[in-house]
Amino acid sequence: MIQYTMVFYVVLISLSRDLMAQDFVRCKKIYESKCSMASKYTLTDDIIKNHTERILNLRKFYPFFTLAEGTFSQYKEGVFRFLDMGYITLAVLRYFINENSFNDSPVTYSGYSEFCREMLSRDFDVTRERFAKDEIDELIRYIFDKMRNYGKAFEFDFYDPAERKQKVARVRLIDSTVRENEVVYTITEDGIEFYLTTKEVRDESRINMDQILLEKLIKSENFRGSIDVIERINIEVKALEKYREEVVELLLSDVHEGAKAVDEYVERTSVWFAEERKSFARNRELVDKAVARLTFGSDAGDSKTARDITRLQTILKQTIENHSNLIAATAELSRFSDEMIRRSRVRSLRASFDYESALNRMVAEDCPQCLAEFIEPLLLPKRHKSLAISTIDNIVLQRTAESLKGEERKELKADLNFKYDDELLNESVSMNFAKLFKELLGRLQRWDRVTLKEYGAILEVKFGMDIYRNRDYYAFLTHLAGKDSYSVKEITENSETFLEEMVVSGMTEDELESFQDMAFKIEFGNDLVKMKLDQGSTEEIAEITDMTFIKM
Amino acid sequence: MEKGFEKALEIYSVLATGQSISAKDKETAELYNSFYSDSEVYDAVTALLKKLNLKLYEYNESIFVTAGAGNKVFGYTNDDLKRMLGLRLNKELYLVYFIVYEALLQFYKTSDTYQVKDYIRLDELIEVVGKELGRISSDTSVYTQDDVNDSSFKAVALLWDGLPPMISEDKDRNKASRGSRYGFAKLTANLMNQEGIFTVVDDRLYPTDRFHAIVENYFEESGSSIMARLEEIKNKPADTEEGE
Repeated sequence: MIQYTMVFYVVLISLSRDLMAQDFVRCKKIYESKCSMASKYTLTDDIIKNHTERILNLRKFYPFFTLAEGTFSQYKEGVFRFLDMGYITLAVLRYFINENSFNDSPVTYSGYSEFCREMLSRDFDVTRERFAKDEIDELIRYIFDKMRNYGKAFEFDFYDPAERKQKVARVRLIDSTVRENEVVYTITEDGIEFYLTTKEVRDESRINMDQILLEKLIKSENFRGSIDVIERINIEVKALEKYREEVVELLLSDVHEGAKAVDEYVERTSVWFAEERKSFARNRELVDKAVARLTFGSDAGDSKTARDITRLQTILKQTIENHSNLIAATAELSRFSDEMIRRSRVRSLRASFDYESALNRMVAEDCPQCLAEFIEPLLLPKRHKSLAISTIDNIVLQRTAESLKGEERKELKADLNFKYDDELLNESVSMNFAKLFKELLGRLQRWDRVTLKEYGAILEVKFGMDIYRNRDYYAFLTHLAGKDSYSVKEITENSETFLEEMVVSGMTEDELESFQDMAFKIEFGNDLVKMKLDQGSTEEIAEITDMTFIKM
Repeated sequence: MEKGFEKALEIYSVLATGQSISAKDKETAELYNSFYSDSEVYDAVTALLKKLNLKLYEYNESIFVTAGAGNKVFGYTNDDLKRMLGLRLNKELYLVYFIVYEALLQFYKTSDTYQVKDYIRLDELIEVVGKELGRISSDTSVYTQDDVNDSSFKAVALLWDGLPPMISEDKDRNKASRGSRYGFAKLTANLMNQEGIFTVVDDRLYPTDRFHAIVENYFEESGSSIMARLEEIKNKPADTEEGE
């Protein structure tokens, strides 16, 4: 029984071993494939995602190589081919750093020109003996224009694989601005960064790196070299100080962004400062020892070395002081940041308009057109009408365009002679009445007695058959029958009826005068007079009671 | 016509032509006094301005009107301003806007904090514009073709960056133009001078009472509606460019 059990266990173990071995192989395969996938992923990721960042780091070197290559080969048929533009570029940048960062003043063209002339003469023997003054002046201007790329940024195209877009990277070494009506020049941050990275590794405290070098130099008693290193440390301290000032400025204009920048600055520098302090202490100790040796030692005879050591001690002391100030200012920065945040909170409770925040908001939303909301209220109310662009186009392109003919300008005045339709009708009726009345009076002047029939015949001869279709004729007779007698004199002086009024207004003064003695009476008969002579006409025929007009 | 209303119309006609009415100005002192001493005149003027969508502000014993933003009758469109300034592209106009805004910021960070100074020099303004454009445009070290044509701060920053500081080193030969940073600043200064917000003398910009009146009051009063409108404008397409 025990034997069987053992055999069973042996079989079981061997089986499980086989199974484990198979699993292990499978796992290994999966692991390897995953590893290869991961590494492939990392590789692709690194290539694509970090490409733009790498190009941005590289871009600061681009102007240097562009300038160094072939700047003088074509210039003046290669007369100045022996000049090294790479060297000149670095020298000029160093001069700018010296003026801008140490002396805190911008560079004028004349300042640069003086420096460049001295350098060309000293290092390349470009002197007045070999070249004409104009030639040298022109060369200095040419170098300057080249370094400024004629006022434009150095640009180079590259492909951003992450965004799949063609982009342009740009960098300037020297910037220009107007100050008190004079153009002055300053080195850009890119310029400073380029200059500094030509010697040290980025993202490490350069001060610390320099300290290590300084330590080595002091130990090897290379005091002259040490002074150079300390000068470089000074540049670094100044650069950090400038960085701090920028952070403060940002904090003043935008509390949120400023607070972020403060955190970043403090985090970046706090790690360095402790190390740097230690290094400074160590180096100071070394310099002090060197000074002590100089005083009491046997090799104190070399006065040049003594001078170097003393100078080294002085500038190291100065640099340590600057560095300490920087550390103190950085500590102050955090407190300042807290205070600004507190003030910003208080201010936000007050009902005032914050122009800086408004700008920041427009910037955050990238809406430059929103600026119009702030500029328009500042402008005076618009008083002039202006032409639309299309109209201007028409003016240029189509001289006879309809739109350009414009409207004829008319002086519109109240027309005092204007008559309404009913007035016009009245007038025409009155004219007709007057004519009919005149005809009657004229006939009566000659005949003394006129019957309606005769009167109608006379009118028919004078005006034609249309007279029978004239409504005014019938209206005249109807109104005329309203009175028994008429005297022209009376109706002129005092018109009693509507007819009289109309007749007087329709006759001229001369006519009224010529008939002024006329007067007649009307005798009404019993017969009806047909007013139409043409009996065959289908038109309706009017019948009027007979009347006889008798002159009085 | 009632005498009060007649006076109100007189006040309106002076204000609408862009002049101010001031107790210190002989010509308009009488109008200023009637505006504040006669309630009938005061009511009529304010009612009239309200109907016309104009706003009235007082500063230093003077009164001014503004058409505010987006006023269809008395306001300017982008095209009006471009024509007025001889500009062609929207981004050029935005640059002018930006310069005006920066000039404003030199005197007021907020509407209640006036930074006492008499004037700002044109070259100081140019420097601060360059600096601010550098700060706000996220990164001008890289750009795409879209960025150049876009209505963005980056396009404005790239435009500024591509301009020479001056056309000529000779001060007198540098006129208001689109050709240089100085030219742009000068162009803007002329606009501000013409619109009565700054008095420009010998390349120095002195803020006027009108400027103080509007900056201290208008935006404080209309701040919330402006912010609401920013959202609308952002979503609205910009005016058409001419021949870009």
